[in-house]
Amino acid sequence: MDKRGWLLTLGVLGLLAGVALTGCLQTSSLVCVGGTVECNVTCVYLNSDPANCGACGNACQPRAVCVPIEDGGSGQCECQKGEALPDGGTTILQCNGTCTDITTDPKNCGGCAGGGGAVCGSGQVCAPNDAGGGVCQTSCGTAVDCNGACVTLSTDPNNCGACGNACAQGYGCHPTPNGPTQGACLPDAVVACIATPGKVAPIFDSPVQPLAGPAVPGGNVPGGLGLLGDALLVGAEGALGELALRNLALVAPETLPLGGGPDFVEVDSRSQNVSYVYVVDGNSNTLSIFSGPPAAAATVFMPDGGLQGLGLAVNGGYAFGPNSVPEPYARVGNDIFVPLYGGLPPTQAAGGTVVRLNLNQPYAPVLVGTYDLKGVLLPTFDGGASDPRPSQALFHGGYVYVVLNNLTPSYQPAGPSVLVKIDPAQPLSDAGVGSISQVVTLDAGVCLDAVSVAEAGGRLLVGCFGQVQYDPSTFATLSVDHSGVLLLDTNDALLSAWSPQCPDAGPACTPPIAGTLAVVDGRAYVGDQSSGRLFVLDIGQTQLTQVVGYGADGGVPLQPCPPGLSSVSDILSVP
Amino acid sequence: MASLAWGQSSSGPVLLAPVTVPLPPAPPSPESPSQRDPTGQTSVVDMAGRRSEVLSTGALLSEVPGAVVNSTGGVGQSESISLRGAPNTGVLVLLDGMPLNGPGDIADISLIPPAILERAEVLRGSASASYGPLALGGVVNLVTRKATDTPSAFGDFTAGSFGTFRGSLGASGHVLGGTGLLLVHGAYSQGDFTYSYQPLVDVGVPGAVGMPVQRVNNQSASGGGLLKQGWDISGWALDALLEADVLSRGLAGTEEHPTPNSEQSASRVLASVRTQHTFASGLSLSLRLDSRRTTDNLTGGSFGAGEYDRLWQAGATADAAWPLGPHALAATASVGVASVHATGGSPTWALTSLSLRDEWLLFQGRASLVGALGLDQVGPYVAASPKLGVSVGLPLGFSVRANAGYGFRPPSFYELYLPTGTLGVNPNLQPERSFSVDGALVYASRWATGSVGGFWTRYQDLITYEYYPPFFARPNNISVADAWGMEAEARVRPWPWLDAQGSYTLQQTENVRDVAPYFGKPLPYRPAQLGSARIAAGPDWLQARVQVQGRSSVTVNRAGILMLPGHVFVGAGVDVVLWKRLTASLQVNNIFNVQGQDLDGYPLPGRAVFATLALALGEAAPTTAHEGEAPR
Repeated sequence: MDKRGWLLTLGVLGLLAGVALTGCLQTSSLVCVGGTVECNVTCVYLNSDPANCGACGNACQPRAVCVPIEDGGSGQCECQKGEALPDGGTTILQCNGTCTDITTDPKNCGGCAGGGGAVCGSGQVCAPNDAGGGVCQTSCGTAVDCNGACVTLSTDPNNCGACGNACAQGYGCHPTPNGPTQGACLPDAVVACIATPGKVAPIFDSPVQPLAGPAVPGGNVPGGLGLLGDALLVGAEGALGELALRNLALVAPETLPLGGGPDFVEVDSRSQNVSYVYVVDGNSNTLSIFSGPPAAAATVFMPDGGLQGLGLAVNGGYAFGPNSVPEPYARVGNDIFVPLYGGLPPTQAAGGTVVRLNLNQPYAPVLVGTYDLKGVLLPTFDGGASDPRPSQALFHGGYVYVVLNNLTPSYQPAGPSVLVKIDPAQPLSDAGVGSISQVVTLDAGVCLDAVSVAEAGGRLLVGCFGQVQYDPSTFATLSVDHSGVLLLDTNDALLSAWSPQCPDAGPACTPPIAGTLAVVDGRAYVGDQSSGRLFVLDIGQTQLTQVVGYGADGGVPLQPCPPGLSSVSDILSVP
Repeated sequence: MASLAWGQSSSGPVLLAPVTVPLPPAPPSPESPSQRDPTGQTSVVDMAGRRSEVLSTGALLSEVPGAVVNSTGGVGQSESISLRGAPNTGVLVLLDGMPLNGPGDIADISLIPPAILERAEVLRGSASASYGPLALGGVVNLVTRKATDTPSAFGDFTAGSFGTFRGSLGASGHVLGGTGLLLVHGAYSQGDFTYSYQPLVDVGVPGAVGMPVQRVNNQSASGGGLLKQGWDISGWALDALLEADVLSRGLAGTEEHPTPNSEQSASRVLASVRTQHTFASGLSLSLRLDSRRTTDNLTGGSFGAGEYDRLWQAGATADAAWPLGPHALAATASVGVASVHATGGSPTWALTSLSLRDEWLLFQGRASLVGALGLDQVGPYVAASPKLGVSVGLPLGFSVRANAGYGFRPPSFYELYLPTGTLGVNPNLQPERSFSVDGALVYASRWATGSVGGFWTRYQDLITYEYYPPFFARPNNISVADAWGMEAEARVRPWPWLDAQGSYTLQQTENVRDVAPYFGKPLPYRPAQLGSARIAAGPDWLQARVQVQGRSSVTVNRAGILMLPGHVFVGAGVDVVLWKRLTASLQVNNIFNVQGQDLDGYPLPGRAVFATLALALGEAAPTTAHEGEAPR
């Protein structure tokens, strides 16, 4: 073969080899996980995204929302329910195929036209009446006339701040007396989701129809939420994130370093001149302190509507020491009471205490004293020993309540959980050691592995993780017992207990694990640790009543977090 | 330090560029990259003459461009290697051609004592066409000390910082009608160094300072031996090898979550028998039987009451090479079995592998084209992995070589079946694949060698552990990632009394198929820059050296937010021949006491001093770098 022949052969071989070698390469693309599907190069939730409800591009009409039709599955558009009427109905009805607010729609005023409602005449408007319905009249009075509909711009989620400005799903209309408009769309609560990827989701709280909006990126492993001005602060792995509360849009990242496992964010905005943001990190065992503008001046919006950082800066911190694992703390004035959970056995002794830090200098914590919980006698089922592991502290009724979950070294419930009460007014010893005032043992028949507490109108809510069985290989949640929420009265006596349950056993429903708690507008929101669901409870005088969750009526819990592989790590109630 | 082995001669007609290149100390085995992948980008790092300087096999391999060695802090602690951005599960590590990792495990290279090594050959790039499974990012072939026919004996003893003691003793010579080598070694380190605990510094608190903390539960103790025996029986070479190690060490944990009671005890026994022969036709044949048995026990910390595994892998491998005109045909076939008995189960897999290669000499031997195809079956997984390589000789000692090929790694037993700690399993995992292309300009002459080149690799179906609330993590095939960059290495010996060498790697990685927060982000634990340099100078009886090694800052989470700072360590040492072949050495590592962390956040030791006495009698390997690494 001559030289040309060799070159030709080489060229052909090279071409064939190149095709063969590169033919199997995967293409570059976004991957949608956690119950999302790709719609137009974006991962969306078909069960809560009103722009892609049940299918890509299937947009819900105005005054309609996207609600899940099966646990963790797809969704469907439904008319909003609006407000409750005395007759048991709601203010938004489907009239001739259109979702209509019968309290303000001049064409369906007081009810669907032809179905009891009126068509207001020329020059008339439809205004809410005292009975909860609508009535045609000649003027809106103090309300605003939006094309014949008398609306309150400060509260109407379909005309929020301006006629026709509808709030997105998951957001309510909140009065903004000092703002440029009378009302603004804001979530009533925000949920942080630990999942792949981490998310935050807006919650619209309503006595009739609480709703979750589509979750948005919330940093890597978001563990704690805070609020400063119009910004949502997200304590996530490695960084403190800032989002615009109005729409949960991510503000241009600032360099706000954190450790690997933030689990609590507190904003101290009492000062007129400066705000302080405290982040507890159970991985780096630190308290990070940031300073920033006062709440009244803290905004992520530039005058042109663009987004900007709040201008937070690292200002101080405190190191609790290796294996201490600090948890969400309680504040009493300028003192904070930080529970230390402790590390893996045998390093649990690095925890088992509550550290009291003074923040008279808000950026320079000073150790005031410690409360040793190791002397607390934890009752166990088998009479064995159990290490005190505090997981949260809360100032309530003049005491600092500390939750001890009472686990075996392998993290299984060893006995009933207890609440330790510390009187912050009680003086410390000369050595800085504080004493325990009281120990409250929780009913093991309804609660094991208590992990969280929240105040509810002078009473106390306790969240219980329960006894969980996992598949030893896949770690799938197989069964959950004694998980739920307790309502304690002012004497710490049990008033009521609630437990989340799947409608029936089977793989379709992952057994829920109650954990995170928050009280929003007087209702208890309970975050699920096994599949990112949210249950809503009405807090009565003596009774917890499930409002949203699995029920005989086919109801399902909210699904703010990706289904299947996520947990609700924090719930922030927006004032 | 790395030196080049490209263009090594072989028993087959591997005739590359007409340049002068150094020969390796011993004829390459069939598993050597120079045989299996003659156009591949290969580096060779020698141990000879550096035994007082190199404390671990990982430290030796970290001098290779493209290699990231993760050491969990301190003498005797675990070490793993990543090549060209591949996960550490995607590097095949061999000891004299025998696999040290299989479907059940990652190669912990700290379990290979440097005392038994003569050199390491590192092939970078996807190489499953020639080496079978696991060679996503490349192959490391560790070559043990050779047995000599002339009687010799050698020994060394080192004592130094952190309560570290180690020693080895060996002899070689004519025995039992052939050549034999026996080497025993042992090491102990208390490991209790002091480091700066500085969590507030790490999160950027102004004015924060660290506090000195003593590392605890960082001790290690190990011992073992190497026995080699070779015979020539009617032209057939017959070699046997037995290597055994036992180890016990504390697992000290991270700075934030130290584990004072977590411990590991491990053992390994390797055995092989090989026969080789070259027939008059030019056909050369090698048949090898090998077996590996490892045990691992973990207690305390996240391992609770204890976890264990007992792994056994055995195989039979045949290598054949046959020159046929301008072609050098070669084939490798192997069958084997891998089994693990662990806390979570006892899976067993059959392993079969076939590799076909042809090196085609062109233009009167000035160029060669190498095509290879690997067909592998590992348990339920099968894969075909082609590769194409080319080498072209240029004037003035230069040559160019380029490659494109695939790599293949099946999911491991642990990822599929055996949960450990808080890590779950996923029986639906698919194999990882890689496709890499690279090219390099190579220079070799009597006084210098060097290369500079670039690479691009796509890793597909990467197995990553996703958080599985509330406590666990599970593996999934989600990501596709690219890694690309440049690698350079050089060694210059202008005069007999001076030896300068170094390597530099610039690499970038990017997740190109992933969920939104990770999409477009770099892969964690892959520093963008790595470099090392070493200068040794002096007469035969007095060798002084300075070493510099460093890496840039690196992300340690998939979101690219958590960072570990970079560091540069400077070391220096001296070897003095006291009397004939009695040598005393002093080595100071991390002279400036730089606070460093490994990629898992484990603190690394500060300044450390080690003193060594070494004696070599007969034809044993000399102890100074000058003698041991003289160009041939």
